[in-house]
Amino acid sequence: MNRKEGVRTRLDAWWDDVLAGETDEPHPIHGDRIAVRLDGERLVLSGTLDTQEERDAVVRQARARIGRGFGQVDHSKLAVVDRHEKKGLLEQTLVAAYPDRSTAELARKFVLEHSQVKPRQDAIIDRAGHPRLREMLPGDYAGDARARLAGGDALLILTVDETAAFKVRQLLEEETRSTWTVAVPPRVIR
Amino acid sequence: MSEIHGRQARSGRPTSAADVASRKLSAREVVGSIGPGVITGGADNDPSGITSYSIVGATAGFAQNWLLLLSTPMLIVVIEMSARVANVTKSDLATLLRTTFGRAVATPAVLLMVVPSVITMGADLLAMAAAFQLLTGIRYIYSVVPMAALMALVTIFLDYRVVSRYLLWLVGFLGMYIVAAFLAKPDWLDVARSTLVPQVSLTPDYFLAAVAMLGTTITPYLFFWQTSGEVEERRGVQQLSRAKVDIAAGAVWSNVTAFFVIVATGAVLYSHHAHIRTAGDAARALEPFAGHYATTIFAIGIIGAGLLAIPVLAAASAYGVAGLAGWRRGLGRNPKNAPQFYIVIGLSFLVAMELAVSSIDPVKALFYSQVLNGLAAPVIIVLVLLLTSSRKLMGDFVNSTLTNVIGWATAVVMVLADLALVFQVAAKGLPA
Repeated sequence: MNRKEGVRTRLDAWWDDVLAGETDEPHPIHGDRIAVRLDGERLVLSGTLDTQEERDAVVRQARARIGRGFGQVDHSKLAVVDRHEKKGLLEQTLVAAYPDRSTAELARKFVLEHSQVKPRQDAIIDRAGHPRLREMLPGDYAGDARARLAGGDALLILTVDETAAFKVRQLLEEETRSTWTVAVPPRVIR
Repeated sequence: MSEIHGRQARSGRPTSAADVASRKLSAREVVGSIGPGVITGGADNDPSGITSYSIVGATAGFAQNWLLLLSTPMLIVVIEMSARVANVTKSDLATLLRTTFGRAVATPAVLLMVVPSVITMGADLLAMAAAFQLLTGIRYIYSVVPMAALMALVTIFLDYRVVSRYLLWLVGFLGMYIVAAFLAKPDWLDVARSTLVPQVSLTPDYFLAAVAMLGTTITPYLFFWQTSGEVEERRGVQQLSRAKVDIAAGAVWSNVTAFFVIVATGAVLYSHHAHIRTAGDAARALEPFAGHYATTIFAIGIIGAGLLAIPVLAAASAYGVAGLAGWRRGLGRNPKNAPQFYIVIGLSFLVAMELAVSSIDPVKALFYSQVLNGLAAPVIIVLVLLLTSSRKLMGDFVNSTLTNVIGWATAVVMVLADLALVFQVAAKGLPA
């Protein structure tokens, strides 16, 4: 199953849960930023999303399910946050440690599916001499990373647009429970 | 349209990340910058703060106004450092302390924030209940539990960051102190002299008041609340100019209010050698403005300040503990999906409620909770300075020389005030 199919399967499962009354479940992509409740014949969507595209996608998914316990979708309380930062100016590299390579691979899959972020670079490294370590991390961080690798950890390294870095760090730290997470300072995209 | 400074303006493309962050804001953007910084500033003037400022005004007149002037740039710098480190590292303070210095440093640092915060919550609850007594005549002890329960429910089951934007208007009642200060007709020359020329009196009373005043202005929870607020807002380094405006507006509003509380209480109470032993005594400073309504206005202001500040204190404690443990956290999260975070909030309310209903003197509790904050704050300031001075962690966003000077001066001033207090209390005993 590729990444797109994986996301679609998770979204379908989430909508099935919601329509079965499990409205407390976090959205697979937007987490607790959106909420859904059934009010008679109406499905009410609320919360705040980062982009209009994200909002349109959620409304489209809801409308596609009209007839399954509700007749209309109320999206008047689903807002788009007033963002001023621009994509494509800065990038940021995040490093997360896991006990072994397979956990790091699962974490990578989870983060990419749930953040919908396309990393500018990504790697899973489980040996200190790996050439990408020096390529992706500045000297100070490479030293810390080598110390982790020497302790038996595997590292997931992701370079993403700075505007997505909050979301990615939160997923690495709070959802995949990495044992160590750091963010290299943002730098200009060359 | 916004202008991007420096080398970027010449080449059309930023050459460093700092170029992207140092944008000049349009007037519209300045107004639109209001966010967590203003809520932090509003929450800084909690009932304990208002009571401490009132006691300072009543016991020392305008003599400590210079400390308020001194603490304004300090407050701006320490909150700005917190906001910056969160936006660069995309992390809250407790997590950063854990990942940078290890648990051996992070755990005591979080405790130094949680303990005074929960005690301040208890003192604030008492103040709100005392204010409610002034309004309704119902003995304060009976309203502590319902008030705490109501606030706990709002914090846990509603999005507090949205609710707080409405509560900020209630704190506007504290603006009445500005009018009251003018109507009290203080000697403005004396006010100006006390504000611009430092005066130090070598007594335990003076140093206790100084530590309480610095402790209520530069409070440990501010650092944790601000970093977590930035993480939840997800503004990022491109929005650092906006964050600075937001923070400066919040800090200036916080200290301007505090200044006029001291001027009003100094003019009304200090000149008549009156002491503050009850909430009613503190309300008397508003009499020149509001006459018989002074008590009502004071009570509404204190209740509003408490509604804004107490959930902030509880949430800051929960952010600290959850960041230390690596739990899911955030006021935007559903309680079912971040249970430990919300359990810590609930426990904070329970302990604060227990402190509030125990037989402690409300006014003393408010004042001494701020002294405790003043003793704990320098440790957190030093840790934040170490984080924000690290080029490895901050890259292009490392502290400027001016920020370092003001930041370290803040830590030194607070440590000196703490040491002077300890020395004076050891030599002359605790004031009555």
